[in-house]
Amino acid sequence: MSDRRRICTALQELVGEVGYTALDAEAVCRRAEVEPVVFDRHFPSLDACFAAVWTSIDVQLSVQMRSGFTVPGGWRERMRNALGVGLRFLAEDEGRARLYLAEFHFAGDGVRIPRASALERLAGLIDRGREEPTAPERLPGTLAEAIAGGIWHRVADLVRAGRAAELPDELPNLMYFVVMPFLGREAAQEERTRLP
Amino acid sequence: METLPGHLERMPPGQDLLQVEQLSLTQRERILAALAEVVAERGYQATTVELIVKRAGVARTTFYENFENREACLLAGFDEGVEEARGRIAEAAESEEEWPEQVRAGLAAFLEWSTENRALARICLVETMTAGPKALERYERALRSFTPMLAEGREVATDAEELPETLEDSIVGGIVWMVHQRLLRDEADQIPGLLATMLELTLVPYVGEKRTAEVVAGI
Repeated sequence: MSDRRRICTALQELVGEVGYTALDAEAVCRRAEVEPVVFDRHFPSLDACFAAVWTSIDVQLSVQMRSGFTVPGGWRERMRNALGVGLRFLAEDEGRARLYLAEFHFAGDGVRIPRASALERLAGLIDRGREEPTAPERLPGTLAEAIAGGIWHRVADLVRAGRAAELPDELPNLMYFVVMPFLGREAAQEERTRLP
Repeated sequence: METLPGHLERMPPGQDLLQVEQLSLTQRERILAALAEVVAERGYQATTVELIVKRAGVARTTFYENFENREACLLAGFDEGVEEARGRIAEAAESEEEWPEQVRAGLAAFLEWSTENRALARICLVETMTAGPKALERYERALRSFTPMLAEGREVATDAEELPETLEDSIVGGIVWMVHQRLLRDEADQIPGLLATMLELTLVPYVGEKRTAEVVAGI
């Protein structure tokens, strides 16, 4: 494993164990078994290291969700699959989910733009709902952005509460929230009562 | 003999206690106003006590007479901002009779407050959560405190039992995300224009599309 990868792995593990605000570069170096000068060669700061780890998680999540959105079927099926894949990915590793959804707040400005991009991507998938034949025409252009923000908030809530393992169970409620404005109450309720 | 705090010792002779207390209140307000300004310019992480006191025109000792540290000052600003916004929302909602119109009035008041007080809104919706786990928890608790207002919609919904338990959490999250982004990007002028989206997000699950369209048309 390369030094950079060892440092990133160490940071991810430590954030999951003790939280980012309890860390310093020396602790990460000790866990990674590298000298501080090696850390400095790869990252100008601990925040920069965090941003690199966060982005790596985001890329993995994005690839999986994009792939999940390409299954056969209409928008609703694809949205359900993409969200389900994303929730399962986050649920697999509680520490990783905490880093991605909660701890980034404390790591400076380096994650702000990538995080906004992540939500824009999610909003982009959600917004495809307005192409459905039964979607109301009056829906505002920023609705998908609001829904994406609500999903992030709800998922982050569960992760902060130490309930990342329950994320896949939240899919029906999140799909209700996504589907309601575009396909109406009946379709939203079908999502909510759908068996896994 | 009781020792007076530093700033009170410097008061000219003859000042009565009410004026002294008034000065304390003013200094606290000045510090909080300075905090909001500096944080809006530099972000919380780059805001130091030094910068705050310089902007407020108070001594460092005065800062520490009012606040234990930088984070305590931020959280005091946050609490005041939240209560101010809550008051504006409640007052606006009370002026309407029916729940959908109450939501419209409350949301409009929130958006107006965020636009008129963008530095304080930025503290509440952008910066506080970056200050550490305790501050993040305070922020999340404040958001949760607004969900009962939305949950009143279950009393007018025709099929309340079908609504997800977590619906109000998701709605609040969506609302603050939109305002958060505009504040972060320095696009506070766009905030009032978000009302229609927020009404669609908030009302459709409870009162349906037709009623929501009526409320949106009344903006």
